[in-house]
Amino acid sequence: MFEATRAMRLTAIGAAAFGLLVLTAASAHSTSVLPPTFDELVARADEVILARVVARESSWVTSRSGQAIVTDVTFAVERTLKGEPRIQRTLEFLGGTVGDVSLTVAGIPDFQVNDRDVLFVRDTGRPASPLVGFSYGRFRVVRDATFGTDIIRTFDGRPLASLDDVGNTRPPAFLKPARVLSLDEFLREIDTALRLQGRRP
Amino acid sequence: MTRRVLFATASLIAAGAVTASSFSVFASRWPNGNVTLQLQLGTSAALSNGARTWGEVAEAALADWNRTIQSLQLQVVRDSTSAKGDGNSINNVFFSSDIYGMDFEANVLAVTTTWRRGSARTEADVIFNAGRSWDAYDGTLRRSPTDFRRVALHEFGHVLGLDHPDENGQAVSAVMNSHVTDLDRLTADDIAGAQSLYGSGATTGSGLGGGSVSFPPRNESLDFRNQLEAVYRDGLRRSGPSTSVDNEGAVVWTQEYLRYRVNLCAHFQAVDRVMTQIDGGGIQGVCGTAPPGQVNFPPRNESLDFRNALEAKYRDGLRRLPISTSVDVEGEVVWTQEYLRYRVNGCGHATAVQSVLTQIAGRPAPPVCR
Repeated sequence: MFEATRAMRLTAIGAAAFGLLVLTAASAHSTSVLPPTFDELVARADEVILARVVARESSWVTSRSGQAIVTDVTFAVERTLKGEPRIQRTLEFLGGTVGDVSLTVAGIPDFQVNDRDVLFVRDTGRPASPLVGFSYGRFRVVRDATFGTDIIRTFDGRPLASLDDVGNTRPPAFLKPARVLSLDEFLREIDTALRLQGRRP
Repeated sequence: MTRRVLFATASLIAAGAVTASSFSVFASRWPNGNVTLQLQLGTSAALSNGARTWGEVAEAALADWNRTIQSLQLQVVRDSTSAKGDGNSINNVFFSSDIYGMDFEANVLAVTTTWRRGSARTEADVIFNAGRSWDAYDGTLRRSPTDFRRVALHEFGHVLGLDHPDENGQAVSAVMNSHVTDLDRLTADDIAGAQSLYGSGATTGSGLGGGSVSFPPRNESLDFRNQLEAVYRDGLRRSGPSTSVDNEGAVVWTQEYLRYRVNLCAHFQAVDRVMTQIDGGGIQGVCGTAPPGQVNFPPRNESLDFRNALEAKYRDGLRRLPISTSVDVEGEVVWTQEYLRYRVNGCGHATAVQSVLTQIAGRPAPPVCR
């Protein structure tokens, strides 16, 4: 059912002219994070939003174990696919830079103003990263210069060829998939998954 | 564990496109000397690899790293009772059900928090998720319990200053890849990364090893571009092509693209970063540190692909009107890349310009300057 529609909704974007290669093998685990699958992302997220970063500010906070730096990232929400609709959303991430002091946590995403992303947000407790699976709950929206469409990349910049690639494996970076999910296709898949999971608000 | 293997058919961007696949490092390192980790891992039941304690396993992992590096050694205090805290300049290694008061997600195995002041590391804490089942064993990875040793090996790599190479455009076999596999020992790439930070004194002087590549001031690159225009117009009698990208934009962004490429970004990563900069996103991080020695540039077809993307950006995104130039886009990007190749390989401005003009005149390419 769900699987069948995925394959049909892919966008062709420039098959390169330099031959084909068959690859690759990787485990479904991360040393720091066990990457969630697409269905897990949808199910575990309290909110799913398409949003653009409009501000970020790092500051010192005091915890029971001492001081830490957190970064508040404010998003202008373009579309809410799951959760309560809002115009703006501010999320707190462990880490950041204040003055010449920086706290870095491998695996926690780093947002820049004007970044446009689809975010799978957890809204419970006070997590180090409010995204499902740390960075795995972040999908970059980038403009494809060749075709003028918005396409989806994973948090680390890999073009997302299929929902099956979410939380599954990563092709080597020098391989460019022949097809990449467009933003519209990705949002439709999320909508479909939400309906199937019966969690559409 | 369930090991899922995906065989994917994909198009190769270019033959030989990977010019320098290797490790990835953060923008900071420890000062030379010793760094002490407070091992606070508590007791354990008998471990499958024969070790008696988590601390013993952790020390073995640290020893693996220590053997590979020279100017830094990671030392330990066993069964330390030091205060556990962030931002206190004490390097804690322990199990916990939270990350200094912030929630561990169930699927997070371990976290390394690193503090730096400027480019100098000042603290690193490794926190293993106490909510998971752990053991220590070699070889094939099992889904549960998780092998403490290889996770520790990976996290201690973060302590040293290593990042995930596979998340930075590289396809290498490495414990430092973000995905844990059956690999349970350091690979050549892991070791090369650590040695780029703490290897021989000769390679650590810059603070980031021999990886930093200095590009020329933009005014010099623009001067080259203007000279190229004159050569094409007056010498080669070329005319006619139009472009939406002015000379300054072309040379500045091509230089930026190449800067990302020689610092280990893949083609699409470099293109993305430049486009983000054009959109006002500021200078983006590079993907790694170029290895010491002669600096390799990407295949010209990729640079041309970038130049075409830049043209589309200026024309369709920035709505720039076409202007005339004597230099076609292929000539522009090829010769700009040649000029920069000479510059980053030790040649001064005048020598680099002359070396390019020599080639345009049909004579063999002069050698670089180192």
